[in-house]
Amino acid sequence: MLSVYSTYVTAIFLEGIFFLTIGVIISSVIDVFISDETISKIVPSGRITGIAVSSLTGLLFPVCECGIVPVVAGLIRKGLPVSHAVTMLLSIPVVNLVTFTSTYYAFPGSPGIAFLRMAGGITVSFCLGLTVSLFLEDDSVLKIKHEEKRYTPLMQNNSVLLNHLCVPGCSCHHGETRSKMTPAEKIRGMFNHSVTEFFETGKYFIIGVLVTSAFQTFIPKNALDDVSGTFPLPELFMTGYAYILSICSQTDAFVARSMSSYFGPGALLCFMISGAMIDVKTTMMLRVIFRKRFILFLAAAIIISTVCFSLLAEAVLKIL
Amino acid sequence: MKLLRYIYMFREFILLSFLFITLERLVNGRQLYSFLNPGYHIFVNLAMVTVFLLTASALFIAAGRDIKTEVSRDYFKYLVFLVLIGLLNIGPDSEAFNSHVAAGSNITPDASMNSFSSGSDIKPGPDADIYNTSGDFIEITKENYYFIVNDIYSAPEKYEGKRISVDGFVYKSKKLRNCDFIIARLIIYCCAADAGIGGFITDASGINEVFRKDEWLRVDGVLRLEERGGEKPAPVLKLESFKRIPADKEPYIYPVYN
Repeated sequence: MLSVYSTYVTAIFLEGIFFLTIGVIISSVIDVFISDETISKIVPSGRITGIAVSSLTGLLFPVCECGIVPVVAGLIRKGLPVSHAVTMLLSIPVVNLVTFTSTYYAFPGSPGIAFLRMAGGITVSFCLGLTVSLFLEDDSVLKIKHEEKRYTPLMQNNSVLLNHLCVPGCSCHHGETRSKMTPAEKIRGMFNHSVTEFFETGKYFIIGVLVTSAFQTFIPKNALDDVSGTFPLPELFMTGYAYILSICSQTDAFVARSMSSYFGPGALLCFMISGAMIDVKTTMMLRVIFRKRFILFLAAAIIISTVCFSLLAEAVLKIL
Repeated sequence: MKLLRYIYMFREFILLSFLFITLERLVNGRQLYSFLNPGYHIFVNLAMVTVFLLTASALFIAAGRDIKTEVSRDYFKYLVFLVLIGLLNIGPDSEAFNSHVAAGSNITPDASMNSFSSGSDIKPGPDADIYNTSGDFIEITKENYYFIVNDIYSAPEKYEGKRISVDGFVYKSKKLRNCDFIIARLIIYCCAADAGIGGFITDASGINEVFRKDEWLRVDGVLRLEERGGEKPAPVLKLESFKRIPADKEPYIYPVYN
């Protein structure tokens, strides 16, 4: 059993390690070389426009969920509104061309599935981003370190200031003297920050990998198939199944196809949309950025909105 | 105690070095084939570069620390990395993994190959000869496996009556007849986490032999279409001869996308 467990651990870790490491390096580059003002100029100022643009970011940056968490953490430190960050985190793994292509190939007879998956990714991430923007305050969402307070023009619209969100023990000289640093100091600061962030984010990534692998090793797949028949809503079952499996969003369409004789397109869409947005591994990694309560809220909101979208999509498919 | 302090001072460097060495072993020992589709190996090679950069940075960080002020804290974070590195070094056991995935699969004769059923995602590559299915005898190898099996499940009538030779391990399902088994291989689209079973129902009724679960065989038989309770007739291999073979050291089938 240990060799099977280690096979899952190794496979899932190898699948994500490059995206994690490049994610922490990009996050550190953003942190050291890009000023808060640059970010506030790039991000559209309007709430709706900003969230809408965030939901389409994945079309330019096809990054999987392991890489996007540290990058978004870096952007939040630079003053990206939390609502935009949440939208990006949810949409990028689904709304990108690599995911679209693999879904299109996995369902060659039904190209509509790939388009509906994209549409679902955009809709769900937009709605949840808007919810966060309208109803939640930053300090109820972010995991705050009370070390240094700072705010940017973008954050002034919100009711609270964004507190310093750097990883503990980081020696990258956030904030205070960055503009006075020489290029060599900046590069050194960037790598120092990368190492610290790698261990901080990597810890959650590895715990996610260990837990997912335990599920894969100790819960036989046919046990889940047996349960599926007795479950009231197959859509709900498939979101749970995707959560446990934690398969990379760029290949999960093939696994969904293998279940197409048991489940309808609505349930398969649930599997592909919610699984890409939140799973065991991502839940652990989100601990780097968000408070536990918000992660629970996010998971529940993703499941509910994905199920609603999928039921609607299935009805549309039937009419067509 | 001083040694422990020095170890703690260099903690990130030590762990990242172990991680880098582990990745190097996996890449150069050709072990990646047991975990990942070759299309994704490039990302592990790139990860070696990024992990190397982080390792070098960690050395500079450690060199800038003062041994007197380094106090141990947050062991848990580093313990998690140690556990991971230990698990990464256990190495693959493809036989145990084959058996595990097969035992957890819920294959029925009608739906056993549903992962292939609608596929036209694979097209013959430049080495087109191995994809030739026009003759009466078809040898299914690792290279042409996904393409041909895909095609057989898409258009089984095209293959009816043809003799087929294929390697795989014996997978027995309670939903099959006693004299049947599936000559199976694991298909991995991305990594071992998405492994699923592929293969043919094999009818061994004319052969007086007991086949053990998970043993590797090269089977030779004629493809027939039989009613097995599904929506349409299923392709079944009527076993004519077989040979016991050692388990393949790189046993997985990796779809390659053109």
